[in-house]
Amino acid sequence: MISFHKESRTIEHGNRVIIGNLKNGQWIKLSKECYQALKQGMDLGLTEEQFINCLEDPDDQNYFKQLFEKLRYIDILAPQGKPPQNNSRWKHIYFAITNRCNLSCIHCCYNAKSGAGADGMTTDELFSVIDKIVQCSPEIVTISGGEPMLRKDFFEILAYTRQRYEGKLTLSTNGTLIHSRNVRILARLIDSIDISLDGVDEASCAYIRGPGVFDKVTESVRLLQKEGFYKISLSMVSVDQNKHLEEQFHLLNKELGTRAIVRHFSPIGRGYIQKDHLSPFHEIQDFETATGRFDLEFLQSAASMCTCGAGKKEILIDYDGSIYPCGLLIQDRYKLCSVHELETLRHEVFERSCASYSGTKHLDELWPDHSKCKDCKVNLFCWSCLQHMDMLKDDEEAFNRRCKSRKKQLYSIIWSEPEPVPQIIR
Amino acid sequence: MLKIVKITDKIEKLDVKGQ
Repeated sequence: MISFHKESRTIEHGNRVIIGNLKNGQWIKLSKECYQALKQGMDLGLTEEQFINCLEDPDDQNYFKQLFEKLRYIDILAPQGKPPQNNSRWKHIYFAITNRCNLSCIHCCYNAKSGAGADGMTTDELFSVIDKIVQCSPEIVTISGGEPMLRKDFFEILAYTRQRYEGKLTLSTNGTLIHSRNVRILARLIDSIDISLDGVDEASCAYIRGPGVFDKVTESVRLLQKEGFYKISLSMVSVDQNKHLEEQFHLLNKELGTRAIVRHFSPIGRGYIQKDHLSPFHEIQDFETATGRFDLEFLQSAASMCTCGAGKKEILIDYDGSIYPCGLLIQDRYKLCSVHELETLRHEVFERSCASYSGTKHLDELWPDHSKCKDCKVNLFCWSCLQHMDMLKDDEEAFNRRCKSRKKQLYSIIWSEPEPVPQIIR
Repeated sequence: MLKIVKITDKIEKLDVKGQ
């Protein structure tokens, strides 16, 4: 019978309906009449073939065959003859193995710093968590911190993970503790590395991360490459003081043979204390002007539904075992459960364990179709990161300002239809 | 049994968006 993937969402507006997939952000628009016909077929438990046979007009039959193919293409319908794959495998598990750090970056969303904080777990406790992670076969495991390489047992942990895990193992580090004596073993144990740099030279990097970091990181990159290891990303968090260096940052990465990642600044952790300094209030860039340079087809193609996987496809396990939806939703109110309470991290067990915490409820309330945006017909296109909603949900003025700046244009982008091409009559 | 004689309102181009 015809049934949609559990991550599918429908939005009705006037005589049009959008069916989209939160898993990949893709969507398709059809008339309400078509949707209602399809819905009738679904409610009756019809198969695709049975539904097609209910259509008397051959054009309609062809149209719905085409629609089914498109819905299959965006994973809303299962491949023909196969049951729906409501895949609940974790895509990405972050494991912060310490909250200590040897740097004290001014924008750190984790508030990690030297001389304070804790490792949280013993080596054996960490092994136990790694066993649980490996058992549920996530696509990607990222070891992070704090600065993970500060732990005395860091290489023991990495080797233990590598021996048991065949997926993609990545390391998120500040890159200052890589040296000629440990680079070879590091390069053998991980698949990729993400090093924070936040600048293009000593001055710009030191402003954010402290003196001497720039040279140390570029040296670490060279050491890794000397070992034949090239899957290296360098990241920069975009703040007022380095925004003008973005192009240079891309050029630097090209020269170094690394991949550039530019992230938006999140005012949480130490970043919250520094937010007025790092990103003082700007007039919001005119959304209409920003989007006005592009044609409708391009904008609709680019505008995906919210695919945020926080708590659904990805989680962060903190140094003390607390589990959060992602690295940016690490406040107590979003704690989903503790890894120490779980026999396994498999989805169904995980979801049951979360029931005794309020984190899931608070996370659900951030989703645009559950929040104060629930009646808006572009809500799932307006937010791409639930942490943005978290920052704004209690600030009525800022929330309304953001909404006002984009809602009209977003409605126009999502719900408009291209002008029909005039037929030439000969 | 469901019987649909003719759909009168169709968006002719069923394009996938949001890629």
